[in-house]
Amino acid sequence: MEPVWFVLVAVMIIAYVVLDGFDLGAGVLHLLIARTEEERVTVIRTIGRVWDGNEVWLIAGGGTLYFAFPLLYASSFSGFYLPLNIVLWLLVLRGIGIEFRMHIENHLWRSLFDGFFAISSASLAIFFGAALGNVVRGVPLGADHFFFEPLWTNFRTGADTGILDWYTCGAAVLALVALVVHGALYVALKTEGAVHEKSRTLARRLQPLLIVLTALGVPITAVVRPRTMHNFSEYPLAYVIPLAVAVSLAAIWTFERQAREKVAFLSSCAYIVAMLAGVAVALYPSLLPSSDDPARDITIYNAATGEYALRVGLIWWALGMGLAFGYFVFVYRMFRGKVRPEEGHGY
Amino acid sequence: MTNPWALIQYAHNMSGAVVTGAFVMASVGAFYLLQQKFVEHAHIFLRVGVVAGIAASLWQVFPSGDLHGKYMARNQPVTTAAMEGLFKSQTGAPIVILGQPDQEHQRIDNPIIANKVLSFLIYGTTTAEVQGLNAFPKDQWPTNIPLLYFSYHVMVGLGTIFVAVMALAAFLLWRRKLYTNLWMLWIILLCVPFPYIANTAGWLTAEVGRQPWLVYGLLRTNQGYSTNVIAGNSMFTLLGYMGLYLVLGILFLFLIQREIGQGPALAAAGDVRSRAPITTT
Repeated sequence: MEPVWFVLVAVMIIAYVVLDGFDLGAGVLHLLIARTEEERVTVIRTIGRVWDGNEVWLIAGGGTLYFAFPLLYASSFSGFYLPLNIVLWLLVLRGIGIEFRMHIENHLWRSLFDGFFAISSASLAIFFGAALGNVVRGVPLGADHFFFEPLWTNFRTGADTGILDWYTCGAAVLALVALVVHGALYVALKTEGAVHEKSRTLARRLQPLLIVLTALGVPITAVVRPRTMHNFSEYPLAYVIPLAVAVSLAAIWTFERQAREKVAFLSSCAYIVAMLAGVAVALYPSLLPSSDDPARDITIYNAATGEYALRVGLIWWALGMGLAFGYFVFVYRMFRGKVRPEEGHGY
Repeated sequence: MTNPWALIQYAHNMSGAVVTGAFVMASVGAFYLLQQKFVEHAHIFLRVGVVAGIAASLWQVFPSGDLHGKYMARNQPVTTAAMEGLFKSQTGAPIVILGQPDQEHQRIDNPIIANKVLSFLIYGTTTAEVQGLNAFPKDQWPTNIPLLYFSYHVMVGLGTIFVAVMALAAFLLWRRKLYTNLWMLWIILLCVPFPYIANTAGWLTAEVGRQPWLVYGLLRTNQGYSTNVIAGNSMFTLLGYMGLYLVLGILFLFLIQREIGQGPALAAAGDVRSRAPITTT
């Protein structure tokens, strides 16, 4: 049962990053490329109907974690107490930015909330990247499976780590670039005219950087935490995943240049899925590895809840996520196609 | 999902939201009418607000509040005793309408009470025995009895006032006198903060009443907190949330007074699109 729940949690987190990833990216684009009021409204309208639905996957992912692996939840939510609260504040600010800007037609008012929206989107991408970096690098778990990490210490990996060190900062930059590309491809897919052109240009300019960062990421990770390579050498079939990363990067490059927007965006989805699947494989069966002693890892086996609960939970999980998935299909069908500035209300 | 309490609490909560909405709507109508502005809209606001308001405030008391109280008394009698300020077990227990709980002397000061009503409300007879706080060991008492007592009484008192106000307004509406009755319009106008207070008091009752337990009878609050989150960190985030909510509250008041000041006429002029409030969350 435990491996099943590992896969389910991984699927939900991946779904969250793919979905909310593009609206975080769109948030960064909001200041970066959209200059006029019309362009900004267009960017917001591309995500206006879906961004809050996308964030449901984060909450559902957290809920699933809490249910299936309570020890992990207890340990990581108190160990990452401050950064998680900062993430929550950023999510709130971002929601405020989107919801409040339309209420008053005044360029100062709108600029203020545009700023909230874009800066919190960028910071979230950075924080999520750093969080993933922490999980891959490992945290200083005690014998009781709890830990505490300050925001930063000396920016070195090793014994006395903080949330931010050179490795996790690198992961943060990679996440930001990946999500901006992802968001730009999405906005390009959903728009026409100036915004469309500018997002395509941005996506094209950032692609080389994304490729370089991705290529650097793998060897650096292997150096920082050699254990991440263990599963790959044990099951060589897993090398399909880095292959998929490379193929999807090539696909983004090719299809974007051929102006096949939909396939380009889907390739970017595939890239994120493959990257995160790679992380999941590197971790398995650990959920939160210890940075010094593998025996202290929080694994799916020592963190899982009772066998009966895991079995019954599967039914409820399927019902609940079935609902969420149905809503997801419905919303994306309703709002398929390009957004045009003159139609719609609100956003 | 099969916990009966969840359904009762859900019903009670949701109709609390409807009461709030109804009062806001009726109050905006009264505000316009008293100023002789947007009279057409004001009539609609008042009508909708009062009709929804009487239905929801009645439902709030009976059956949802009533069931809630009965369920509490049977399953967490110590909480009920503290909420009602009943220090000693007694048959034919009275209900305290007003009064201050005096924990030192184990009594209610300056009480205004209705004899035997509590027994009747809980068990349906005036003679039944209701357990008081003295029936339970002190370490199982809710940690802050005065706060629990007052938040509960504020909620119930306001809830009763809502029924009275809405019943009166509904009566006047039925007699076609509501729109011209200045007294009633003033009362409705001034009532608008109270549903918010009642909702908050109800929330406080639930959260203070559950103490000292996180999971009733199984896990105490002082066994459940994160031992490795230092107090300074919690203080920092608490201040952060207070600041955030302060800003949101100010923005809310600012935007609401602006919308109400502009009135519904703009919307009627075909400007719905750019101004429609966006409520997706």
